[in-house]
Amino acid sequence: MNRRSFLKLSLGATIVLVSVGGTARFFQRSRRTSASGYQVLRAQDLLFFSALFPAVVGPHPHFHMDTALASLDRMLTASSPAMRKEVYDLCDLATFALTRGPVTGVWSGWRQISVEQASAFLQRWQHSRISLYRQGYQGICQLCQMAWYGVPQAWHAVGYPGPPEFLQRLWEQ
Amino acid sequence: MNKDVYTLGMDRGWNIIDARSSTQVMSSPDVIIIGSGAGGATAAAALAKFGKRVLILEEGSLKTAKDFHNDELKAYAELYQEGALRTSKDGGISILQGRTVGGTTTVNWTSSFRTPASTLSYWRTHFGIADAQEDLLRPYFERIEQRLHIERWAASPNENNAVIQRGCDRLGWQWDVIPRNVQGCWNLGYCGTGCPTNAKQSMLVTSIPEALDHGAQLIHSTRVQQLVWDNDRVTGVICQPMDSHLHDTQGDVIHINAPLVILAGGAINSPGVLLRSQVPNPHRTLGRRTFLHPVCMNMAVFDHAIDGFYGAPQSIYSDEFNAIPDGPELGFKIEVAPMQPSIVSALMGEFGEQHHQRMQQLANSNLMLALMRDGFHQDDPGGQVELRKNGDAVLDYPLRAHLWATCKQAFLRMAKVQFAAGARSVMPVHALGQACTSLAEYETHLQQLPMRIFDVRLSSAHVMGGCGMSQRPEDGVVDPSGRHHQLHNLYIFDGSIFPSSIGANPQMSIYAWTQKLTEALIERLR
Ligand SMILES: Cc1cc2nc3c(=O)[nH]c(=O)nc-3n(C[C@H](O)[C@H](O)[C@H](O)COP(=O)(O)OP(=O)(O)OC[C@H]3O[C@@H](n4cnc5c(N)ncnc54)[C@H](O)[C@@H]3O)c2cc1C
Repeated sequence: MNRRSFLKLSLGATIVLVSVGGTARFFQRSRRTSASGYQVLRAQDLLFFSALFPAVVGPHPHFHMDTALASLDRMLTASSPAMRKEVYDLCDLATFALTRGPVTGVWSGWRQISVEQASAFLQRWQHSRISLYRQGYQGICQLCQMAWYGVPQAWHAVGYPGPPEFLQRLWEQ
Repeated sequence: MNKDVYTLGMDRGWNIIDARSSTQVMSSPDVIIIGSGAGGATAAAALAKFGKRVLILEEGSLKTAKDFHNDELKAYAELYQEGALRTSKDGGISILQGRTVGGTTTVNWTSSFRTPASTLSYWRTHFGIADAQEDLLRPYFERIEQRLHIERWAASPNENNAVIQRGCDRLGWQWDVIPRNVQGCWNLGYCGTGCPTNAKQSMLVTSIPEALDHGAQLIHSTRVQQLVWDNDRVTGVICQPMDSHLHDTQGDVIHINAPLVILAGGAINSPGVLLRSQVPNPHRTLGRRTFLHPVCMNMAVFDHAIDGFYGAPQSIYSDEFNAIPDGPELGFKIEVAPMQPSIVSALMGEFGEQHHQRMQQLANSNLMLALMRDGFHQDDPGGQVELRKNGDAVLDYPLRAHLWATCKQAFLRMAKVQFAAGARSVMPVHALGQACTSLAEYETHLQQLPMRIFDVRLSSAHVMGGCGMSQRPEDGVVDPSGRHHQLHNLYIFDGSIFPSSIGANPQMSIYAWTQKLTEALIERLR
């Protein structure tokens, strides 16, 4: 099968699988609530983003998973119901056992995944002709990047000195 | 030690209510103003000074200088619509708008341009807006400029802006200094997270305080869900407090009546309120012709420090390509964007090792943008505001061929400026964009890049239209006095009344038009 027909197949498959994804959610009510300590992120979202964060952020010397996930959770909490639904749908599609393999190419599951495997997945979506995947790629990267580079631990290593320190004292009594 | 404007004002007896903890609405207001941004605050100050009992309703909360800590994520979460993650309906364009007391003016970048003459002329010819004339508007612009201390930025531009200056100089292209609404600006660079020193002359520290000094009441953290109307008149509004984190509405709805209502929720949100209220819309014009100044960007790397995260974010622009073209392509204005790390990280492209390397060049990078001037051609009708199932407003903005063609032009022109200014490499902000070390290489690269949704990282910070002014009811939502064509005691004073985009950063246009229309309204109320 050449690249072109493979992609064509995926498009058809996606349409089927998106609806399977919906059904999957219906039967997994327990997984619809946010994980403990989080406002928005559920267990499957944490699984998915934990697998992808290192691949997206790259070799940042101070990367810290819990900080990154908490930051992402905070961003999503402030976003809209529509945005949260998009993220939930994406994570369900990518983590549900029936859809995961065909949609993401990650057949073995996200838990033990290497950075190389996660990168291969990102690359596959980045270059996909299916706009749903390209949108997913962009969404994942932008959310993870904004979440991580929004926290002070991330700044020093990329040469951002942070806001001038005297500002902290400006409004102190 | 500094004293906060609002702490002092409250000591003097300002009437400010947090809807989450109090329901003390002023009795029988003369006018309800929905939204406290550029339009709402300007109208509120004028009407309160005239002696009207003004009630301002704002969905965002009251955050002031002492709350502004130059923390990007905190600011996006607290001060922006949808936590700064709003997009157009298909996700193709990121849309930044404010949601806080002072509206978007509290977080904007202070560039202050008058409405271009070519835009006014377009409105006269195509929408019958007779007053759209430079001469007639000049006095209003002059007064706004005085009141908001608007002057050409006198200090030297930061390096990020100097790239435009240097590049255009070498190319013989037009550039000029940007006028800014600041007083005693410390040149910090954190306009987008709320000004920590009150130097920015936003509505938060100018017109809202003026309205409060003249007896207006401000109720914040409450969302107007609907207008109540009957035949050709609005009788009041229905609003509901927000929850503690402003994520959603919560608690008892309140019904407030007034003989006059001014809607100033900004584009997207003002049409949203009207759609939720199911107001008469006989010509299906409501929410249509919403424009964005869609922006595409180039990232360049220099051998010397740019430090684009510091210093006045916008101080130089180029209008070399900002005329209204004869054909269907769009004109565009060239500016730069401030470069704090969270937002810029989302524009660096790629992931992993490559993204990390690009981020390490943050301090040497220059982020240039082209604001495309939409809505000046019959084939460019912009977008349409709709309601989601839960009643939230969303903008359907189809990405058309002319926009992509303009993106290509704009990418290339910006690369020319950046290389002329001495860039070591230039990269289009595109999912497949790569750093190119010469203009020729960039041009070849650009030819190979698909101009399509999600790949080209489009964004917008200027939402306009959706309740456009027009002489004939068939062509818009309000008449040239800002009055709703069908509901005669409803006025709309915000960026949504423009029949096209502005073709320049819009805040001044909103201040001046609102000032003019509010004064005309006051004359009729006498
Ligand atoms: C990051 C950024 C930078 C910018 N920089 C510049 C610049 O340098 N120069 C420039 O000219 N322009 C700039 N702009 C744009 C400019 O600030 C806006 O176009 C302008 O403020 C819009 O004015 P407005 O009155 O239409 O709405 P806004 O100023 O957005 O005010 C509307 C207010 O109404 C409130 N509201 C909405 N719906 C409801 C409701 N149902 N109930 C209660 N309240 C409601 C909103 O919360 C908001 O506070 C920038 C914008 C952004 C996002």
